[in-house]
Amino acid sequence: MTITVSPLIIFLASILTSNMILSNFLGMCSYISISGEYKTASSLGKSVTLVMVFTTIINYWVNKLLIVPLGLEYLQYILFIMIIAASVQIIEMAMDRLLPDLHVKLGIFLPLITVNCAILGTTLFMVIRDYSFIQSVLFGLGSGIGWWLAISALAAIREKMGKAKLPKGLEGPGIAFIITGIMALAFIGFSGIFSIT
Amino acid sequence: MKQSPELAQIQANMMPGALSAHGFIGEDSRNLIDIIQSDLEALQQLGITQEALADKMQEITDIGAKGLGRPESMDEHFEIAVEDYKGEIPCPFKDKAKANKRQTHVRRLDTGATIRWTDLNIHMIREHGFFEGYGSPYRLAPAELVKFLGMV
Amino acid sequence: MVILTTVLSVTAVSVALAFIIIVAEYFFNNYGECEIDINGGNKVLKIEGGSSLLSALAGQKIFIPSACGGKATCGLCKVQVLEGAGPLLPTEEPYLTEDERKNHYRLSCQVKVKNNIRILVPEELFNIKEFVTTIESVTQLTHDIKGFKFKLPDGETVHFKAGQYMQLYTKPYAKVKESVYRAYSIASAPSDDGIVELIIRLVPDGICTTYAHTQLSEGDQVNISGPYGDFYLRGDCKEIVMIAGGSGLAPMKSIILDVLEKNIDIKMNFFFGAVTKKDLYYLDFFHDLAKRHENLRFIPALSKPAPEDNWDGEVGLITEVVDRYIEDCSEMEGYLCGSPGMINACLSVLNKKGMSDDRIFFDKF
Repeated sequence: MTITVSPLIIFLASILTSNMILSNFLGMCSYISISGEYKTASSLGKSVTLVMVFTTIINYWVNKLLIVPLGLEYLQYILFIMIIAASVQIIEMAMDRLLPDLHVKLGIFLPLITVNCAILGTTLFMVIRDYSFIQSVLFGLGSGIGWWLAISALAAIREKMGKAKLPKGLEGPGIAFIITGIMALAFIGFSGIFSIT
Repeated sequence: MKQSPELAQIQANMMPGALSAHGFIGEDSRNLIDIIQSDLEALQQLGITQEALADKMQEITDIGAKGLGRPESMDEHFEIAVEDYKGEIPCPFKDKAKANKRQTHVRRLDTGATIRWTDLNIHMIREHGFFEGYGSPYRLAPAELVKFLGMV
Repeated sequence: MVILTTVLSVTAVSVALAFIIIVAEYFFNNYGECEIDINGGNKVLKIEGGSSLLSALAGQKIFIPSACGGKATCGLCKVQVLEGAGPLLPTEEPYLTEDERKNHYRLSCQVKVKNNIRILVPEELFNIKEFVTTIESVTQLTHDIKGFKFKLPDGETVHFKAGQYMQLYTKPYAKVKESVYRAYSIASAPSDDGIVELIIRLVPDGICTTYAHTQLSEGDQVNISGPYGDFYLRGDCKEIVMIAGGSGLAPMKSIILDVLEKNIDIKMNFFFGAVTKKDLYYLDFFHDLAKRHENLRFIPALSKPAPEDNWDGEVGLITEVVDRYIEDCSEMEGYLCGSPGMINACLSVLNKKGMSDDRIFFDKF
């Protein structure tokens, strides 16, 4: 089933209406634990975007040239995960060599991202919705930017709330989930603009 | 709970042989962030802040340090002997802080109980809420420490 | 049949990925041969790229001082890198002042040699060498201090100024998986050809001192490097005050022996402080020297002698004893070696007696 949605719509929708965190609740683990400080959260968001774009592209071609022709759809989960893990390793090496400045800022987060389920999630959505190459690239980019937006917003809110007095049980993850829930409610407001799910 | 790569690096700094022979984690298998959280919660329940506790420890160390190794007494409650060594040890939290290799041995004159801490312990409690992991030779259990110092 | 396809395809993909990673690693992590240009072409080293500047230089027998073994916690390994170092790393930032950054100083343990690099190294660092020594003797000086005599290989000597220190390298032991190195002042005289004596006090939980005290005995092979340090006799004054505690006696012993051997005309007042007698050592050695040489005065002092010590020497904090013996030291130089607490206390008493800070010397490690 091919959806003939404009790639631009896919891009914008994956940021706003179909946000990885706020609509699909993927990638919550590092999202909740690393959103304490804005700078760190923003760097993590950038790294996630980078990895998402690369792995979506690589997985698109692997799916098109290897998995579908050989009828290995039942192995998709395993193969995609392996490719994601390997890609992250190579991205790290390449960054260290070719873009040392960037590696210094974002490099330490790369191993953490390998197990981020939003990465696998993006790939699987692309496969399920049968996107073309352009659609996949923009979908990967948009999903990453959406994730980055969500974690940066949460970190900014948490930093701003730093001095507020919270009930003891809600400090840390507790209040983070409540804030996320409220943000998700707010983002539902965008859903009328365009939808891809 | 997952911890940021920086904390993971700091935890690596705390392994035996990185900065000290026994390290700061001991036999504890938890993540650093969980160790700190659990100890800070215990401290909160006692109603004492990190800063207040560190201040009291520093006060005791300062009085003892005047003796250059010779035992000094404080307030008729404590006998304090501060043993000083050459060199500095950097704080594993990568905050550029360094502490002297000073050991403060405190003995309560009423019960005879003893406790010992280092300058680094005081810094890590004050700035990072870190009391060291279970099994570490320099771990200070918050409840024990606070009761020993007579702060509750 | 499906099982076979599954196993085969997963295996094939794993192998392909592993292969790609190996190729990528070869491609990206292989920096090829890099040139290190030292002091404007004075020395040019060709090495395999990829390691830190500190270890690359050490591999070529050029030893940059370091107290933490490359963990970016001591800030001692600063080197001017004129070109080729790459961006400043966050691990370096806390240790470099604005001025230093302008002058291209970097932490050599953090700079990776990835391409040709031009650096400036102070001349005196070229004097530093590595020695593979054998332990000639281990002496228990007090309950927590041991004296180690290291025999140098035949024909080799350490050219050092009395008061300087060596770095001692440990090997992995117990839970410590890596080698570390730490600094210890030389206790033997410069004229003692062929051996180096170090006095090491066991620091609770210290990596290197625990290694020395528990793992080393006669006949063991130990690597040391040196000499390093700015602590040595300036010789600008006719009289000096020397104060030591614990293992701080080491450089004083070296300086005193050196002065007496060379017949240098300097009057030395050597104060050695501890709490009880069990922390004093080399007492007879120095009493004997003082008896035979007029220009050496040796004053050991205890701050709380135990009854069984039968102590008839000076009693009190070392600062109190110095206060008693020295009237006006504005024309003297001061040499201190001991714990930070002792040094700070002595600085106050010497200042009080007229000695200015620029005439007081002590090792900052």
